[in-house]
This record gives sequence, structure tokens and C-alpha cells, in this order.
Amino acid sequence: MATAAEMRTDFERTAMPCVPSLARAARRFSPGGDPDDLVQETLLKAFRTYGNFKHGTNCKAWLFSILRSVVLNQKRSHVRKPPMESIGGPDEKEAVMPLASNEGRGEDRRRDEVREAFSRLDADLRWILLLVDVEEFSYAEVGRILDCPVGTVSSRVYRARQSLQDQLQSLGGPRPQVHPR
Amino acid sequence: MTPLTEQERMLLHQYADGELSGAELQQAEALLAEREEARAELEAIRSSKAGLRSALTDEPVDTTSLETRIRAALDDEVAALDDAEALADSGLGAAPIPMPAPQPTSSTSSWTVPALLAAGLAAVAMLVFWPGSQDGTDAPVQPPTIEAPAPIRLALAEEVARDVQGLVGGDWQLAIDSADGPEIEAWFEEEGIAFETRVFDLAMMQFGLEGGSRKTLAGHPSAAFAYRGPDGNLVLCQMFPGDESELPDGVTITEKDGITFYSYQVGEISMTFWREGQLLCVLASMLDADQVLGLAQAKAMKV
Repeated sequence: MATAAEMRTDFERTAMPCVPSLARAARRFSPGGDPDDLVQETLLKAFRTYGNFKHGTNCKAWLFSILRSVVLNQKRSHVRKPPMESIGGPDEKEAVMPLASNEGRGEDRRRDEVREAFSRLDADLRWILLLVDVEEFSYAEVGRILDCPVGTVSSRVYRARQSLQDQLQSLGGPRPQVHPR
Repeated sequence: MTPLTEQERMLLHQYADGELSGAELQQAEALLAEREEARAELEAIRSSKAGLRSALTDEPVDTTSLETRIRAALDDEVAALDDAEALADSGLGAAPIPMPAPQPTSSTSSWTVPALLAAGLAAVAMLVFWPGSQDGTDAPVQPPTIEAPAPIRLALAEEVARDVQGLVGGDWQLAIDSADGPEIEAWFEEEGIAFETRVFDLAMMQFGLEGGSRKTLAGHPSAAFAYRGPDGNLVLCQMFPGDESELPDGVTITEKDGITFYSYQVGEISMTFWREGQLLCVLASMLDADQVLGLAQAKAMKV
């Protein structure tokens, strides 16, 4: 048995290195709210159940599963108490980031367009792409985080990338195709 | 050029993600060797992955102030825990805090341990359900009615036990935190649960509703919702399409008010199943078997 201070030291060593990844993810799923609040709530929830965490397993995947739960709960609470203008609004969509101006450099504009296209995807598809393409979790880990079978992860990855390309096309005209039309 | 089939394209996505092995890997490699379109597709997938990763990670993320906030919040948590420990030392409060269980570091998935736990539960379940030997000298004493279960049936009890262990152990989280039964029922509907759910009110028994999740049991979508009792024990209820034919053998059967209850013990998990119309319901917990049965009998409804 450990003291609370010992547990906190151990928790910080294990979980705090994941904060930047969590913060980047939270930014994509915090409509009208503060992404830092999501991360803080995630870390506190994790700390409260840290006695159940098993060292040697993937802490980052564990924290992402908690983050997703926190995001879903925030989304529900927004639905329960909708601000006047938010019904049907951004609870399913990422807070849209403005595109760079026409004067912006080409590479920056391209990244802005990708971010904008990503923001237009359904939340399920955004989670899949974030976890697989950005955080580089395996399909099995993603299945555990999203609580769905590996086969479902695989088909959603495929669908998500197609949808992203469709959005990019609608934003900026012809884009490299993931598959021939 | 012949367009790639959808199946071939999906294979290439899995290849790009490093998810293939064995025959599927060979199939993808052969496709890439033979088809120009496949190579172009793979290049486009890799470009898309790199483009997204660059777009979402190249933005500066300064977490300095966030980490300061989190540490301050942890200070508060630790202070609260210290107060609780002081209370425990005085003989009035809770037990010391368990540290995370050390596990051997490995490159395998983070979910290996739960998988091993499930295997362990399976072994325990086999002991519980497997018949004694003919002379009865080298096997645990078992009720005479116990028969060897078909593996697929045993898997159902294992799955239920695994879900309880996983929830208690923090391996999975409730997707919706709520103490409001109708809200959870509405959420199940939003999540595509195609049958009518009935989230019980166990407040009279001092079990507070914690929330719910969509799970899978015996290959069926399952509506899962959890309660916490006065001693902190979790009770997990699941409802899913099915009937008694899916239940393992070796069961303790009880009848009350025209409803049949099927109780099992898998390791430290007690569980009771019953049927409501086209659905099977199960309550499972680390509570005593009698307590779980009592909760089930209090809430089961004849349909």
C-alpha cells in the first residue's frame, strides 16, 4: 500500500508525459469549451482510478479511453443544457478553425484545409483518424478505446479516409485521390 | 487499367497501417507487385496519413500552464486522500490506497493483461462447471447436475465476468455517466441499440445508477448499465437479444413470480440471468451470489 503522495508521484511520472497528446486531441473535440478542461478532467478521473491501472500496459491508450468518455459526457451535457444558438450546432463537429488567408503560404494553406476537412467529419470518423493516423495506435488498441471490434475499426478507417478526401475535394477542388473514381 | 475492388483497397489501407500478417500480408504484397493501381493507391494512402498527421501535430501546443493547473488539482486530490487516510488511521475511515499492480513490461498490446485475466477466469469457470471425475477423488466436489459446458456457452458467462472485471479494474469506462435511467435509455437508442431497454431503479436497495455503455455479448449488441452500492461494490446489468439456449450448463435455477433465474459463479463474479421477452438480462457483481439473485428478483419483470 502506498501513501497518496507516493501514488501521485508515480501517477505524474506515468501519465503526465501523455498530456501534450491529450491536449492536441482535446482541441479537436471541445466545441465551445476549453480543451484544457477536458484534459484536466481526464487526468483527475485517471488519478482517482489509478489504483486499478496496471503498470506495463499502455497508459496512453488508457488515458485516451478516459478522454473519450469525458468528451461524450461533455457532449451530452451540452445537449441537456443547450445554449440558445447551439442546438444542432457544433456538438457533433469540431470547432471550425478559420482557413488561412489567400496570402498564406501554400504549405500552411494546405494544412489549414486538412484541418478544416477533418473538422467537418462525423465525430466517430474523427476519433478513428486521430487515433490511427495521428497517435498511431494499433487497430486492436483503437478497438479497446472505442469499445468496438477490430473489424469495425478497419472498415471505419477506410471510410474515414474516403470522407476526408471528399471533404478536401469540396474545399479546394481537385485533390490527390485515395482511390480511383 | 482495372479499378481496384473495395476489398483490395481495404486490404491496402490495412497494409499501410501495418495491420497485416501471414496470408493477408502476402496477398497485399502480391497485389502491389502486380498492379500499378495498387501502388498508386498505397502512395495516396501514405500521403493522406502523413498530411493529416502533419496538419494536426504541427500546431504548437504549449501545455505548461495546463500541466501547472493539473498539478494544482492533483494537490487538492492528494490532500483529500490524506484526510481520508488520517480518518482511516483513527479507525473511522477508509483503507489505505492500493498502488497500481506491477506488470511485466512488454511490447504487446495494453490489453494483454485483461486477456490473460479472461483466460484465468475461463480456467476458474472450467473448474466451476466441469464435472467431477468418476471416482470423485481428484476434482472439486460439484453438484451432481453439473455437466461439461459447450465452449461457446461457457464463453457467455466468461464475457459477463470479464466485463465486470474490466469495469472494476478501469480497463473500460462507462460511455455515459448518468444517474438518470430514462436518459441512459434514450442514449442507448441514440447509439443504435435496436431493442427497448429498461434501466432499473435500484435506489430502494441503495444502489445508485452510475451510467451505461454499449457492449457486445455473445456477438449481440448489449445495453450495459452499472450501479454502485453502499459499500462501493459495482453491479453491472446487461440486456441483449437472446434466450435460455445461450446459457451455460451447470446452473443454479430459481423461480419466483413465474420468472426463472439462472445463477452462475465465475471466479469471484456472481451473476444471474433471466429472460424478458426477446431479451436476456444479466446482473453481475463481486457481491455474494444471494445478493445478486436478490437484486435480479427484485427487478425482473415477466414479459
